[in-house]
Amino acid sequence: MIFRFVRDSIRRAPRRKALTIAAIALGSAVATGMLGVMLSIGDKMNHELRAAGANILVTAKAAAVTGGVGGTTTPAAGAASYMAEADVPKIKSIFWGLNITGFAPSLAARDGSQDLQGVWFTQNTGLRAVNPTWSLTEGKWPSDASTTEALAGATTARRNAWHTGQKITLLGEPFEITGILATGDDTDDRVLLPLTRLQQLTGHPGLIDRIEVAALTKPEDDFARRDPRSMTAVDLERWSCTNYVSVIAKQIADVIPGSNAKPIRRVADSEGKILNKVSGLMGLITLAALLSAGLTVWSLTATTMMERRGEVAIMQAIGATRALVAVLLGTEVVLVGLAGGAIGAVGGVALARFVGESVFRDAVEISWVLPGVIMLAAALVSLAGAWQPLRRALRMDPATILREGL
Amino acid sequence: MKSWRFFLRVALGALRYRKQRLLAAFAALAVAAALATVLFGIYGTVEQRFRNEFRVYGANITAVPLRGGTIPLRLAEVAESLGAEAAPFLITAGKVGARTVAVVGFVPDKTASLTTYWQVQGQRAVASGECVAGERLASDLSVAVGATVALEGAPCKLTGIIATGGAEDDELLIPLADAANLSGITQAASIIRIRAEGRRLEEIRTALATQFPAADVRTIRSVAGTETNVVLKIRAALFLLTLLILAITTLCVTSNFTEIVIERAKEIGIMKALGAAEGRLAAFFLSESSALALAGSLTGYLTGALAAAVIGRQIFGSGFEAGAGWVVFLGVAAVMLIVSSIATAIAAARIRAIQPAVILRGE
Repeated sequence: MIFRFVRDSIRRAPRRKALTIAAIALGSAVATGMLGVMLSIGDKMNHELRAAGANILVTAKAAAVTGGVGGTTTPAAGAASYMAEADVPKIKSIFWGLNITGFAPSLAARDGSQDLQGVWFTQNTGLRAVNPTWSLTEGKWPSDASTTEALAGATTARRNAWHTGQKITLLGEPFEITGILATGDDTDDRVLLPLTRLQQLTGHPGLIDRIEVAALTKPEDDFARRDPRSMTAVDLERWSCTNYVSVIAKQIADVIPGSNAKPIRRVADSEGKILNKVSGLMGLITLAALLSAGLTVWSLTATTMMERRGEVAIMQAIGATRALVAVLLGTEVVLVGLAGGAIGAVGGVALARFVGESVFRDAVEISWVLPGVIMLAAALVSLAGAWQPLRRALRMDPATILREGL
Repeated sequence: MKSWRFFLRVALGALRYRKQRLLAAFAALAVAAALATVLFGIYGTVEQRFRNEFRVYGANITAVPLRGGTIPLRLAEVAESLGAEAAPFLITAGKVGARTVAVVGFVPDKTASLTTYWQVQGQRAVASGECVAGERLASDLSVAVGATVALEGAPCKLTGIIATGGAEDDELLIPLADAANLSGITQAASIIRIRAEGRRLEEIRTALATQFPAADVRTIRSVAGTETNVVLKIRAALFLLTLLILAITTLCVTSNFTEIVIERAKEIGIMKALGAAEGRLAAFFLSESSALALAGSLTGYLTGALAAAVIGRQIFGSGFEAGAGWVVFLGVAAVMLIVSSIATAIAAARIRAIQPAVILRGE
């Protein structure tokens, strides 16, 4: 009976129903699109912010940190110690291994007053994966297997008036400058060599003194800053299972023998702050969108219901109880809401994809739960909008409504 | 004259008898105007706002000597006169007992805003004769805050220990003047870190590079590149989303106004039967909706500006000023007027189709 009623109602006024469904669909599409973008923007921004360079620095336990202010190298008391290059891939084996977007092992050396650094030049990992903003001002990247190729930092090249193709001598061996790298930080003061070659020349085969790691992390909150040693077992488990930068650093230090891993605060803390602002802003915008979408659907169903007072009156006049009328019309509203919500959810997913593509050049991942939630919300908001006018129509004397000809 | 009185009577009558319907339309307009105010206010300033947020990354330009060990301190002054923040550092070596440590002279109050990410135990501000140590150095020397560091030639009292994850962790930081005395180098720095406003970065860098050919003034690509990239992406996303929200809001307002006209088909029928011209009826509805739109805009603008200020402060901190001035109000009011006029115009087209006889017969 309910089914027949709804079917006939749609058949009798297909245009009006189509308009209502279209409007609900539009509202749901906006809501789905906004939520889709909002839920994934933190992730996208996290990737974008990785361009700022490594956020974790791994050094040998006894070695000094190099670089940073002034780029001085201060050997710690006793001989500097090293880590094994062979241990480096273990970084990928930690619990949060999938969140590591790049790691760049290196070995520092000096030739007179010139700082040298042995690095991985490969395209997909190493230096270039960790620092995607770095680019050559001229020439090309050396190959890792080469024994004669070197890359000059921009300041070094300016100081010595070197150009691409220049033949130079480093550590007593001949090298050729294949390109010039401008980064703006202290790498500009160095000459970069393939790691293996530098290890050979300095007599440290298979050894490195520093790994820069770029990881996708969750901004640290108060919980993250608590000392893990003073946590309860449950808290400790929650702490270790969150991708805070300090957690990832600790896990790296655990898998690489003789290492000490620390968050680089300049990058790690800053990206957390920026990410919080971005998600705050997006939350606000999403709230605005949900509000206006909800309001649209609400006022639309309210109006539609107001226009159908006549139907309510006739049904009551021929003996339908209030409950029956309410169920009949309510079912129709819910079905129309679900239909609009379904169409809107599909459109909204496309909308979110479009925003993702045009802003981040990357697809936005949308959970399959979202369209379901939106359909449900559309039906509920429609019902809520229809409620007040329906109740008023049911309370009114059918004769009055019918006489007014509404 | 007469038409004015007529207009007022109908409008006031509508207020009295159709309170609920008008209230709904007014609410829809006010909410739409409030949303538009918040969005315009945020969109207009979002680029600047996020560029400011990137200050947490610290310097985006460094100046280092091209030849020799130092660059003139004047470079920092010139950078400041160009509107940038500049922190000079003088790097030298000192002896604590038998151990050689990196001693860095710095200007605490100039460094502070560029290194908000330092995690400080104690305090980072130092006066002459005081110093700050990196956490690794402090633990190697086994000194705590308040202890005296026996730096040869310039013993100092430790006021703070910093952890940064960078080179500072192994350094001893003392006031620039103390470092100058210790090393005998005056009016010079080993490195000057500069934070220029993102949009003027290249201009300031070029100006400094031309004026100080002995220095290599370089843009820190990782900071500058990330800033530009992220800020532009946020702006683009916000632009698309704002358009979307405005579109759905317009739909809401439009449907409300159309209803206002259609619901009064009967009144229109009576007025037409009494000899009202269609043009005048349309003009009447148009002025009614415009008045409603203006009132809605004003209410919405006020609440929207308030909301933008409150929420903005939540997100961006206390320094936030909602960018919702007169321009935004005019923009919002214009959009609302246009939307309500178009909606009424569409509905008014139906007035023409209303046959008084049919309507009054009750069909």
